Amino acid sequence: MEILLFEVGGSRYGADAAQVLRVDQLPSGIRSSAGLGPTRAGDRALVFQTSNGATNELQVDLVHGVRTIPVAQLRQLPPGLSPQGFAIGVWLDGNAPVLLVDLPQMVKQIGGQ
Amino acid sequence: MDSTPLQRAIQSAPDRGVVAKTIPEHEYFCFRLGDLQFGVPSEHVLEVLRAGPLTPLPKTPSFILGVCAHRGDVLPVLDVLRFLGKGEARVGARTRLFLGITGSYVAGMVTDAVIGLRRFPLAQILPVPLGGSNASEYLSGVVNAGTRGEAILLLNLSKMLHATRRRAVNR
Repeated sequence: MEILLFEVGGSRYGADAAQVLRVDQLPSGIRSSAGLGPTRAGDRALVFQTSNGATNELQVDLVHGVRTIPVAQLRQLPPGLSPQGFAIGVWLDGNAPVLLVDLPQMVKQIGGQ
Repeated sequence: MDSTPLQRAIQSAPDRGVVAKTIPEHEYFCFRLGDLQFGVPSEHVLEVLRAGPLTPLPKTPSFILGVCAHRGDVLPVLDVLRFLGKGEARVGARTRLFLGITGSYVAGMVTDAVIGLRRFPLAQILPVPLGGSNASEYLSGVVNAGTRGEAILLLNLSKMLHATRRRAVNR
C-alpha cells in the first residue's frame, strides 16, 4: 500500500496516496483545523477529490512523502474508536502507531477547509 | 524405659490438625495517578509497561488519550482521572501503563507510579460513600491502607472498561 504521510499539530497521519491529487502551498497566515486538530505552521494542503467529484483540501503542517507499506504492518483500530468513520486504521511504524484517515470520508463527516 | 523427647512430643501432639482460620482477602494491583491511589483486582491486570508513543484519536472522548502499539497490537490508552471526572493525567517520561483486561477487551491505563500488588482483607474494604459523584458507580470500595494511610479507591475495572467502550461508540 502506498501511504502519503503528513503531520498536523505534531502528530503524524497517513492517507491513501491514491486519494491525493496534489500538495499545494498555502499563503502564510491562514490557519484552520479540519478534524485533525489545529495546525502549527499549516502552509501545505492536501488536495483530494470528494465522493461527489468536488475537490477539497486539508491543511497540514508537513508532508513527509509517500511510503510503500507492507499490509502486514497495517492494523484495524480497536473496536469503537472510530465513531466518525474517517479513521480507518493504523500503520505500525515500529513502535509508533500512525493513524490512517480517509480524506473524503473526513470531509463528509466533519467538514473540510 | 524412659521415653525420648521425640516420643514425649508425639504423645502431646493433638489428635487432629487444627486448620488455621483463614481471613478472606482479595489481591489488588495498586497504582498512583495524580493525587489519588487506586487499586484494581489483580486478575484484570496483564502487565505493566513504559508508555510508548501515543497517537491521539480525533473526535473521541477526552478520557481516550489515543492508541499505542504493544507486541504488534494496537491498544486504546485511557485516563482514569478524566473518566471519573477527577482531574487529568499528565503523560511524561515516568508514565507507566498497565494493561487492563475484561473478557477479550484490553486497554492500557496510564499511571504515575506503580505501588504493586496488595492483599486486603475483605473486612477492611469499606463501601463507597452514598451520595457521591457519578464516579462512585465505578468504585467497588475504599481501603485506608495507602503508603501514608491514605485511601485507596478500588476500581470496578470490568465495569469501567465496558463503559469506556460504550461511550466511545455512542459519541
